[in-house]
Amino acid sequence: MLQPSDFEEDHPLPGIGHNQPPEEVNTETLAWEPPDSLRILACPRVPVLKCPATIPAKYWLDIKERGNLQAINPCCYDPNELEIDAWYSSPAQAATGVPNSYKLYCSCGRTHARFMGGGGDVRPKWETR
Amino acid sequence: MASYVKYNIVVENIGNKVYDFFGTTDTFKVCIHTDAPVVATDAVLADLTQIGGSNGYTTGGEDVQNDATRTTGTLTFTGSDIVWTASGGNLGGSTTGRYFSMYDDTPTSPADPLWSYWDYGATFTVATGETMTFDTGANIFTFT
Repeated sequence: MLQPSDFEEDHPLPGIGHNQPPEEVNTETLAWEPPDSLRILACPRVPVLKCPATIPAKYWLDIKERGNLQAINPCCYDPNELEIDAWYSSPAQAATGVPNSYKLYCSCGRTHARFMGGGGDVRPKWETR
Repeated sequence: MASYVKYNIVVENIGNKVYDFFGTTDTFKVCIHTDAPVVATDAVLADLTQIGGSNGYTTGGEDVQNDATRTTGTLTFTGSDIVWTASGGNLGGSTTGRYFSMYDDTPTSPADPLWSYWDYGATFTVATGETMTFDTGANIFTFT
């Protein structure tokens, strides 16, 4: 009597009784948002220099002037190499309509996060169509 | 600043003259920690579980370069942005941060009294060469 296993060797059926290799995701980077994150994307990722909103220069100058340059790639504080998105840290923050977190993504693959602990400053916000 | 939360002990410490906001008398620092703050009972830095003191993170956090001014009946507390750079591995080693807390590093009794915390909204890992900036804005808080 034929069994299903008689067919599997010649015609393997992906996903049925076969373990598919999990998609590899790098979770050890600031780019990663864990599944239990409360954060909400406020503004989509765009090139810094093409952003509809003006991004303050300190967003990359802080990396250059206050960071450890022995560990940071020079491209990471070159606005030509950076993309940016904006986040709300929580649903309550989203209700205010004011982002309080930004991420800068460098062409080298590294991510730089900026968390707005203070206030009274400009918080860039944009839309794309 | 929807994410700014003051620890309950602050009002008692103000009454006991624990903090000095003006000039360089007291040094306020911001640290990164893993445990969720308990505003009702957390009172000093030792009540928090910081990320590991390695790969660019110094236990105790960084000086926020604080100062304060008064205009009529409002005190404005200011500081300078802090940038942590991961070097030689993930910031804090195998630990992952989520919260920032500010405290006064100068008093000895109580030692390192807390002031406020902020929730990033998720655990984060700062990989080698990446940075986490705590932006102090035009002011960290105002007090009336």
